[in-house]
Amino acid sequence: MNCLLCGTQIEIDFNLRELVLPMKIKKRSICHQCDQEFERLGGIRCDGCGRSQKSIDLCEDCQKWEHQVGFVINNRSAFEYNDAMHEYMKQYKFTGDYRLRSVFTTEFEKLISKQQPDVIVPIPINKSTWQTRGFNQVTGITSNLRLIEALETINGSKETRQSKKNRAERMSSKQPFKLSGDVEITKKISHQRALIVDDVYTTGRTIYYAANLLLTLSPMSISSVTLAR
Amino acid sequence: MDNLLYGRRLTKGELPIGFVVDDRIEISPSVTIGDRMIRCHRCNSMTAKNIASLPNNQFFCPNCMELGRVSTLTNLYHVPEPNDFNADTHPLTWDGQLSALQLNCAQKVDECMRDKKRHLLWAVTGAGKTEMLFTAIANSIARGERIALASPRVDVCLELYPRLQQAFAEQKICLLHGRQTESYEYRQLTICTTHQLLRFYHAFDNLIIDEVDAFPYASNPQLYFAASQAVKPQGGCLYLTATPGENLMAMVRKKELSISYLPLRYHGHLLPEIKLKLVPSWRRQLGNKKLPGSLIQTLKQRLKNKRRFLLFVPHVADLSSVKEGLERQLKINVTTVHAVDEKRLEKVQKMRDHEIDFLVTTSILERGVTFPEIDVFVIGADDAVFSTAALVQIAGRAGRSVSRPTGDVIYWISSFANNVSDACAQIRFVNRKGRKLQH
Repeated sequence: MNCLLCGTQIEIDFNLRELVLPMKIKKRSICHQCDQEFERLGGIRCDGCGRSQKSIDLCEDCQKWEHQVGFVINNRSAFEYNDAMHEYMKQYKFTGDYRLRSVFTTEFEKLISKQQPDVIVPIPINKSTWQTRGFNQVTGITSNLRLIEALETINGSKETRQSKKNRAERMSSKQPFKLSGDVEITKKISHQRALIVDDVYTTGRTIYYAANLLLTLSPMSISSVTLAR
Repeated sequence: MDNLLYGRRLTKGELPIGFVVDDRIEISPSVTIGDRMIRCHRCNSMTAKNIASLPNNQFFCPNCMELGRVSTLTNLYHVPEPNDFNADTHPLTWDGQLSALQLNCAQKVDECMRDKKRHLLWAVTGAGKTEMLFTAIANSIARGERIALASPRVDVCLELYPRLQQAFAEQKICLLHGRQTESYEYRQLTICTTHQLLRFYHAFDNLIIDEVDAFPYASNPQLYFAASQAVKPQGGCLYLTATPGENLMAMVRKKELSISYLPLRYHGHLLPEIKLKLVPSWRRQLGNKKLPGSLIQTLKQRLKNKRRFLLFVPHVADLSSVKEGLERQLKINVTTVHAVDEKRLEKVQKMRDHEIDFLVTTSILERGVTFPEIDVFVIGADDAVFSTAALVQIAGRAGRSVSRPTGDVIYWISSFANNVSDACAQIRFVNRKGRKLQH
């Protein structure tokens, strides 16, 4: 098995337990060196967006959100959005290497289940992305979980990609989503702990738009998890 | 804009925005789905469905992603090559002279390209291959043909480009490789990396592939396919190499490929032969920061006589311990280079400028660099990182100048591995042929 990111052969060091006991060996899709490039988030972080800081008080950006929308979403991210993560996203999303979806699945799903959600709502992608990319990067990563696709994109709402905009442009973008027309789906959200999953948390704009919509379905709580921030 | 697709096969993403698809353009699917595998029409590789799958029963090819992904969602756009050129009848502006031997070979190359043959030219390192191509390329341009000169390595392309541009001053040459920012232009003569050939389809009347044996072409069936389909069905293909691998030689034996040799260097001398020294425990010694006594003796002698040399080691990790050992045992300053060394070019330039007398290096300096009058040493030549081709190329760094056409090539090995004995055999083989020509 070769590393999906750098292409070198992956060396596996078995420990004694793995050698002796009849247990399932964890499959690795990237090599140790590449794995170390990614920075896992932990320690003390902002109670809102989950960024690493000295106290658990709300960071400046989250205070602004509280002021603007009246609530703060509790977001947790698995990784820092560093150079390695940037490269990974480029290869996975923009080049479209769908094999990379499994690289962080285990860790990401662990983080999701830690939040103990009742329903998990992925951020959708628009029609033209379906035609070119062919997959939703969020549902790709969380392949083992049951997702409730309660959100849809509004047609033609997303002319330029989020990643090509600067902060000011992102913050001023319009609501890109609408609720799914299927009542069966939207019914599942009410009085449940809903969790929004996305790939990257940058300004929070996308997630707050999604949360705003889901709030109309009167869930018990809303929080979010992203792969990187 | 019209000629963008001539002889090429591109996906929609590679076409400019607003490109009008008219009925001259042939549209074909880029991936076909089989029972268990899918086949990519651009790189011809087969991939298991479970690896190549996208949601909604779509599939993509994971093997040629560096050129942009192709999938069942994309089509390939192609216009057959029309050879729409104003052929220059005397494009060659080079006025250098070829030696009698080179001239002989140049004629052979010219014949092959005229008859659109598949041919292998086995010319030793430092034979002056590029110059021998000039007349053949000139004649081909005069016939109005489209020609490409491809190489697996970017550095080779970057080195060839100015030389050819100088030799064909009136021609505009298109240079293509993965790291460039300039856009593609439709030209009669193209210089590109072998990966870029995947974007061409039945485009060239003659394709020349330089350094066929170099990584990654040698072991990559995808690139063999790229070359074969970039050429027109009746087109010719010329392979140039100093160290043909097993694949090419098998094609020669099956008579799929004709072959000619240039076993002498441009100065008419044979290749220096490899001397082997067996040091079974050098790795253990290196652990104690010590190098084999024979190596130290040899280096001392070279330093005393002011003879310059290159010392190759198998791995980047070995550089520091070899450096430490040498500095301790010889009391000199040691400069090391490797592929990701930031000061690599600077250090190589210092060696060129005679500011330093030797370099300790990994195999990055195996080809494409010329330092006159040097000796070449390798420690641990039997290591698997050195392919036979690499060892022959390394040996070929010695004796490249007229002022000192011979040089010492000594390999320290811990065992007689196949790569080493094959390399020695290859050099002896061309030298046998060379001796016949000398007399």
